[in-house]
Amino acid sequence: MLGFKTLTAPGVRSDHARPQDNTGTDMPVLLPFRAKHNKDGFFVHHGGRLFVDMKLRHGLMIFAVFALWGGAAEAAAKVGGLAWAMASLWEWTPFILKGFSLNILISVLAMLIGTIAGAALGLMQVSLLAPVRGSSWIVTQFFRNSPWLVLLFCVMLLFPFEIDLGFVVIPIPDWMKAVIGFSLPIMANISEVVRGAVISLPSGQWESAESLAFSRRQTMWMIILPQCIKRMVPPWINWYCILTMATPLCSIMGVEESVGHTVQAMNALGDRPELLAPFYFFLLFIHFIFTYPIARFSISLEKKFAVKI
Amino acid sequence: MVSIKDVHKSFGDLEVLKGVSMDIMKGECVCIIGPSGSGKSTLIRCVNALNDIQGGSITVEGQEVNVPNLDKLELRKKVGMVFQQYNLFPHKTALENIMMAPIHVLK
Repeated sequence: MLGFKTLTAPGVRSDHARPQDNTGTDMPVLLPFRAKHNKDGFFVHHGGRLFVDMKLRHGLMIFAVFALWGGAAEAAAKVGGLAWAMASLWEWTPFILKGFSLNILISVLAMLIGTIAGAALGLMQVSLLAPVRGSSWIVTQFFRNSPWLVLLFCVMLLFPFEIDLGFVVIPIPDWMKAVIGFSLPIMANISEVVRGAVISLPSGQWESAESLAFSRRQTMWMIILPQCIKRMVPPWINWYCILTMATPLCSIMGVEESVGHTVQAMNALGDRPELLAPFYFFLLFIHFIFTYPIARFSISLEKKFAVKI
Repeated sequence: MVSIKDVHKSFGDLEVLKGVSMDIMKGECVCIIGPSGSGKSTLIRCVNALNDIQGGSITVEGQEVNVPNLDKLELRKKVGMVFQQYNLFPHKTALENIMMAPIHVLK
């Protein structure tokens, strides 16, 4: 990147740079003020208020208490009561995780289709031809602002349940229709991500390319889009997280993914009220541990790509 | 040679170039000096067809710039421009920045 480098020999750090300083700037005065954190003890006074300074080990201790409770519950397996509920949950976990794998499959396929279609739609939105721009804008705005569940309903009820090619009949399972239903709002949102990335580039890049007599196509593919890819990655990952969190919607339409399997498991155990909390919290938990690392990865990518001030 | 004859350029109601004329011969080095906002960059951009002009004529090696269906790519193969903000391509090396146009445009 263009910028001003101090004239030191390679390998020599300046006086003020320290290896642990990963704050994105060489001038600490530009950072927002943060009061010093008093690290002694479990209870911490910080900025005049009392905080509990929980570390990872504290969280692990709480988790261990629950895990041991569930383990002890298996030994005391009688029908009814929370102990029995935890033991049943442990027994049905593989079945629920199998359903969750369908969630992941739906999200990956919908993201794949949505990204390809959305990239095309996004490029159409920055086209020089007004009809192309206008029609792609209409499609984008329509699918962006429609409720995902309603789109899912429309696709799953209007799509044929099998395709008859004459010599062979291809059945289309429910979850494949769900993939198409989810890929529509994703397509619209990725289209906006692409358009946003293209117009975020400084106009000097376009002028420089024009002055060098590059055609529009050469400008887009050699100069503009390579610079956009880095800008598109964090919002793209963000949309993948949102999509994964939205996939349980298709359980309403009868697709047997994690929510559907959880309900079936509870039915098999007699639909007792003490099953509700453990099973649904477990469902939340597995969704969380899948989505949260992806979200953190996106944040770390943003920090890595961020322009140093 | 580049000849600029009686060029008028306005941005809406604001007229920036009011009848500018000059001839620049091959090999000449001409400096256009003026206060900020006086139209220096605008004049240079008009030669390159980055801005269009409302009156007058600009001729670059016999090619008239102020025509409705100008082949801008052909014109810009003859005109080289360096920007005040450099406008280099950050995703390419310095060598590639220089190489790209001769390889992909002038092939």
